[in-house]
Amino acid sequence: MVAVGAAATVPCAAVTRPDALADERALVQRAQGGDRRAFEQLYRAYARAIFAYVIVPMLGCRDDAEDCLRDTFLAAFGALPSYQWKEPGMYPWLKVLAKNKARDLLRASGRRQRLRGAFAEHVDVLVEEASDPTEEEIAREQLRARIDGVLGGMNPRYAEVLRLRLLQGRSRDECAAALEVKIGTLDVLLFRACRAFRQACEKQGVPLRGEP
Amino acid sequence: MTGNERDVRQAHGGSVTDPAWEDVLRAGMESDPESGASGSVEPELAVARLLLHAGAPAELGEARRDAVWREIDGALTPIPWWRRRAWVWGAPALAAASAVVLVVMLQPGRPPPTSPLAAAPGQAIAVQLEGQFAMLAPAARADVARSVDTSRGSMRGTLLAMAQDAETIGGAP
Repeated sequence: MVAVGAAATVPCAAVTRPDALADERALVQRAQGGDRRAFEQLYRAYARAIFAYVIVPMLGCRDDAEDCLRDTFLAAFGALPSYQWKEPGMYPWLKVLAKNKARDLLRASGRRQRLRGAFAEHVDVLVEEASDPTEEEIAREQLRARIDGVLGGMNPRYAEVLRLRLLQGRSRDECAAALEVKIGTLDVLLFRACRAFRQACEKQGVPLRGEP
Repeated sequence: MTGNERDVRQAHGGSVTDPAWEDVLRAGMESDPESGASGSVEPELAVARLLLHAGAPAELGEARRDAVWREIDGALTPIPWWRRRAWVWGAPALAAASAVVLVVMLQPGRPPPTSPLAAAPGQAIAVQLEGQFAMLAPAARADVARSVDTSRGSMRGTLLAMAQDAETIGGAP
């Protein structure tokens, strides 16, 4: 049987809060003048948020997402001289660059990339676009609240398996014990619950698109 | 996400980008008598990832963030002229061309010209220059030959390395 997360990737537990920037505008100006240290500070401030909230939802694959993050900041450095400062900062501009790079990557590698479970369009349907990393975190909380609302209208057993397994990140064994089913039955339950979640979204007037 | 949930997730893994989720859902679909046991699990996978993201977004750890920065920094650092690929390939050819030009100009073995100019009053200077040239020429030729040999050896090494790489990647298991 398959054990999710046994050794595949780093656990994604910590919320990606941005590193604070004292004076972003001054940093941007220095970076526009070719100051690599200033650009590095901008990278360190925004890399996590761009990765977690923009690129991963579009690509679904960690390796591709890291490549895309690199390409995004390389493009950003190249385009910095023509960048016009806008409040609240350069995050929205970086987001646009990241989305374009992710689309380029999808186009270049063909449809197979899209089979990896990209979910950016689902997020767009459920919550509004954020304009800085702090807002991203707030938007994620809103997303969670909306999901809880959808789960509230579902078959309680399906809702419970989604809560335990996906929202809370409980192990298969724990979930199977909590739901009093065998592991194999838990997989079936999870599959059905994911399918039922889409239907529940449609019932609540927020249809998730068929193809992410 | 509460601290408790974070601890639980850290203990069990299963992040947004974990490729094993697809296998889990496929296993569920194949075991489900109602699903028909075939087809794509893409829509269910997108839902699973959406919920995982809502629980805890994908984390770019410190080490990975540094690694990506190193790649960016490397790509932004200009390559010195002597390390550029064009120079690696061009240097042997340039050295060889220089050697040919030198040989053509010097024409070793040819008797010294006996033109009227050679017999002119400046003949003494010409003879002196020729003598100096004759002294310096062997060392210069040796230098050129060495340079050509070195470049040829370096190029052979590069080609061998490329061939070995190609063999490693596409060769027999």
